[in-house]
Amino acid sequence: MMNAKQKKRCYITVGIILASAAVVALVLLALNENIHLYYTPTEIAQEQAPVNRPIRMGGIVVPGSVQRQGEGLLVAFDLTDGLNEITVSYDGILPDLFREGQGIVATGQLDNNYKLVASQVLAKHDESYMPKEVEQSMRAQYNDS
Amino acid sequence: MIPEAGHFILLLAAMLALLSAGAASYAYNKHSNVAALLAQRSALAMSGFVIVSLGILLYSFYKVDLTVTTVYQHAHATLPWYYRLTAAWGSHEGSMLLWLSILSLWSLVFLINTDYSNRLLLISRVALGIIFFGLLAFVIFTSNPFTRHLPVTPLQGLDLNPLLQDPGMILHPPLLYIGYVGFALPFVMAIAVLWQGEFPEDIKRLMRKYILFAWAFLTLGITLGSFWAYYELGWGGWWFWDPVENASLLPWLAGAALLHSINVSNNRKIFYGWTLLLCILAFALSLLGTFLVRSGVLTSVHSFANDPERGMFILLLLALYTLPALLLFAVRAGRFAQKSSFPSTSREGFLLLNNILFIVMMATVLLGTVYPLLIEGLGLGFISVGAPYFNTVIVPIVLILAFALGFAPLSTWLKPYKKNTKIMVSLLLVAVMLIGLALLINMPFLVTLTVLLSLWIVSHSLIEIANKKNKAKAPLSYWGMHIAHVGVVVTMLGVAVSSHYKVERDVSMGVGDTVTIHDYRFTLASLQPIKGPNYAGEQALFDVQYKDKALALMKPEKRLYSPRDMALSQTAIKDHRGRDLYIALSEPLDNGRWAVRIHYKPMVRWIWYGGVLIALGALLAWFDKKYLARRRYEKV
Repeated sequence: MMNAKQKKRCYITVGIILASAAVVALVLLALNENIHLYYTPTEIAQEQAPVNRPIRMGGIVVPGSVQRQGEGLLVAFDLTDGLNEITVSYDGILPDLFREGQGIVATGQLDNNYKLVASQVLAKHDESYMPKEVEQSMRAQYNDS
Repeated sequence: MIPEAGHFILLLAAMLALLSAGAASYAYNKHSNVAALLAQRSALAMSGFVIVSLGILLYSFYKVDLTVTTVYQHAHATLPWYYRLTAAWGSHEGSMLLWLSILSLWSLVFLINTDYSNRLLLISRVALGIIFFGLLAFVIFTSNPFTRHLPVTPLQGLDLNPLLQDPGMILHPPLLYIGYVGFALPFVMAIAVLWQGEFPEDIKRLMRKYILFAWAFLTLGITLGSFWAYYELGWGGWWFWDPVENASLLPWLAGAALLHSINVSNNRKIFYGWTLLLCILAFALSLLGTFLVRSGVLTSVHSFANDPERGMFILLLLALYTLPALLLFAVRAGRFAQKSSFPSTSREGFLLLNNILFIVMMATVLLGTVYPLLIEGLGLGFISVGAPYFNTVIVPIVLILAFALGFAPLSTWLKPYKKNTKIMVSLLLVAVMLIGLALLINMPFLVTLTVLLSLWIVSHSLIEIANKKNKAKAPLSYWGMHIAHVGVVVTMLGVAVSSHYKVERDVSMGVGDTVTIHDYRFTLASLQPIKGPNYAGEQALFDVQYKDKALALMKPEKRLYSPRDMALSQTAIKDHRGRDLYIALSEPLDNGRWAVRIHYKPMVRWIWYGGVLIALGALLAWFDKKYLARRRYEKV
């Protein structure tokens, strides 16, 4: 049998394990809810991406595709990875470095027509920069074809 | 010739680093005083050489020597001299050399502060020499700032990224690095302590000083960086949970735990193993931060084009430095195991809780930051972790921490917390009244909670100060503690109030259009072209009215920097009665209209005021004479 001291230690250990398990569970839950998977325009064109779930998509802004709608800030443009183009719509202010031909990453949800409704558009500080995901996925595709 | 001299001096410094490590190791093994002196001298020369090489790089930038590749890539003759100089650390290569130069400054401080023949610290000198050698090799082989751009000398440089042409650039990197890099000293000292199996008093005190100083500067660096991002990036945000920001937050959190635990080690001679582990952790996280920022492995809004090859090198260094240290810890930590018992509500108990909470925060931020890397490394695709993750996990921990912080100053070493019924009852009454008021004016839950916790902390601090006997004789570290804790309150209030009561309007405006936020009316009065030394652009004039009275003329600008053909929003910010009015001119739309960001942010500056207070508190504690390390001369 355990004596009083051992019992106390046992309770403390069990308490710590339970508490940390709870913390880990909560953290993983929060992590799971806030992960944004990355897809290329080709993957989306092939309907591999989930609709109405936050995702990220990267590509080059197709020159001539940027269209303003009305007097507001609503803007639509196409992103390409060289093979397929997906239309992105965004109601907000584009980053300073956004321009045609620039590689960007957009975060948002796909609607049922496989158009990306973006909540955030990310272009980097650097004009010669290409987002890593965009570069790698484009490279992979050129190698495939 | 001059850049070659810089390169050559770096090579010499690398040799000297090896020499000093070797000599220190020989001195330790053979009890040789001469070798110890040699280790000291060569380490001094090495540190001096690294700083001289930074001087040479600065000179090349000052002279805009376009034959040097980094100068060509980051400078331009039209830059004012101070941005020409700071352009040196706008480049990856120069930034790493600055990192090393600040490590050299720290190393000089260490060499001067300590006795060269101190047997225990000889181990530290070996470790420091090895660290220097590895980082110098990194700079020389992968990021040499003195590489020439030959044979064709370009006519003009590519200019410094306009985002970096800002006073923030002059101060932010050095401040941040003083903090980051400073954790190298506790690290090498911890290694020596573990090796020797003893933790002498003077080492503990010296360690405490270095930790406080480094942490204070890290705090300043992060605070300044946050403020800079706020006014420069033109989004009106002050923290994005971006990997590059997290990279500096990780060592900060570990450092916060460390500076509390080293106090327990100093005052109560316990927590030794834990303190030593935190020393290793803080430096490992600093290196990890350098890796995250410098390798560009994560898509960040702050990082610039960089080279993944370098990332591998830093990762290798990280492994080479920390794995042996952790192994040493695993083998030797047992020697520091003490039988100590203290009530869970004693000061030791509260500081232990503080440490656990800081480390849990650190671990959750670390998880969110490197998780995308792990997934990518396993070939499972690209992911990113959104900011809501960090907010969800960090906010509750901070609130628990704040609650415990209230008790901390009134707790005593060794004895359980003494309940003061009068205080409790009166605080409870105030809390009830406040909650009533909060319900009445419809205050959001988190704001109410933050205000309550702030009152909780401040009132405990005040009660403690009022009860303190001999206030005049209280050490500086005592006041430092209170000031830093008030700083935490100030930042917390700033975060809570500004994020719940902010109003953000992203709108399309033409001349004559008005946006109204609460009592403020913003009218776009006119637009006019402007021209600067290396940019051209458009300036908007906003007529701002408060309660129908003219308040200010705000002039946000949109600039196009010609050498790099890069656009930049120059925000206009006005502080009116504790509220920030923030206007950024974003992009031209059709028909002469502009996309404009108009934000109203009450108490947002408290976030940074709090940061400054926290740093000030840490500096006061650092300044405390009580902990001045007394020199102990000890024969080898």
